[in-house]
Amino acid sequence: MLFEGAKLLGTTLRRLALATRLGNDIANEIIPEPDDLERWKLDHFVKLYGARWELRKPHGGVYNCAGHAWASRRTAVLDEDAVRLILGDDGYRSFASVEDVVQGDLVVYWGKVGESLETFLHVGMVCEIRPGPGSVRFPWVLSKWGATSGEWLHRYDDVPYDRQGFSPRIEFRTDRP
Amino acid sequence: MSASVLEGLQSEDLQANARSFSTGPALRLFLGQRPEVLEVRAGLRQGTITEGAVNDFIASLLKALRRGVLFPHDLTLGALAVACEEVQTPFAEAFLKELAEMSLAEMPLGPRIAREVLAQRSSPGGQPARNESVVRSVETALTTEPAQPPT
Repeated sequence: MLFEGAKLLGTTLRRLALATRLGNDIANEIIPEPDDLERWKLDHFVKLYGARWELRKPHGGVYNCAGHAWASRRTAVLDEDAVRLILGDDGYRSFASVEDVVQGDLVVYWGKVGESLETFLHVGMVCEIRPGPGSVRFPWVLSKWGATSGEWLHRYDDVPYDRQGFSPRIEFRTDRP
Repeated sequence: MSASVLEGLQSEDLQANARSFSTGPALRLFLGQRPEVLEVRAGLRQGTITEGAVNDFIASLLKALRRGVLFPHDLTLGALAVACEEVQTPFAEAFLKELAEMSLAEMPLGPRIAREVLAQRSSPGGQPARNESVVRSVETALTTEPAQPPT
């Protein structure tokens, strides 16, 4: 009853045939373009957290962070089960040391709130390794926030989650042997 | 009074921060800590927010729904779903189920949040509807050493 009017739009979902390396279907859907109000909210998000981010592409729909990393910007992967399926089926191995990161590796962000189960938060691709003080090196990651933001290049640990109530965990993943 | 509390779900800060996420579980956890959501939850439990006010609020949001354009209040509906998580009334149950069943490209996240909320709501026997032990075993299998950021 509450959504009768909305249902009159009919189904407008658009999906692509997408599968893991092992051939399992990946649930996905293409995100419509955001309107001005959505863009205004996204701009505010960037003002809150993006002082040091570098813009690659303005706000837009179609894909999310997982769709950027695993679907070539063609569609959005919006279900955590699908993310876990990809990580398992595509043979990504996890490693701990930031010193071992190279361009093309992935950074996967997980988080929990209190005693909750850990959940997937975000994924981005390492595009640069920039030097820090002394021998420190910082991977810089290209990623898309949410389903409708633009793409930004950001230092791998310059993410908002610890300021949003999460205890985040950063995991590096690679398809390299 | 109840309308203004519901309007809090559209606060600039909540709406901007919610743009970090694009999955139901992450959004449920994020929204479940927000004071705006907790205030609505308290109002629903205490009856200071009426079913009529919620109906009117949803109807006002849905006026912005247009075919082919992302619904700008998708995450507001998701926030309302999280507010209803611990509200055991027929109205809250009906709202969650109806939102969870929506299948519109324009509304990708609200229904996912509602499905996550329904999965986490306690069943009559007091057990989570979602099989947490299975989820935990899958997570254990995938767990690896945490990354070490530079010091």
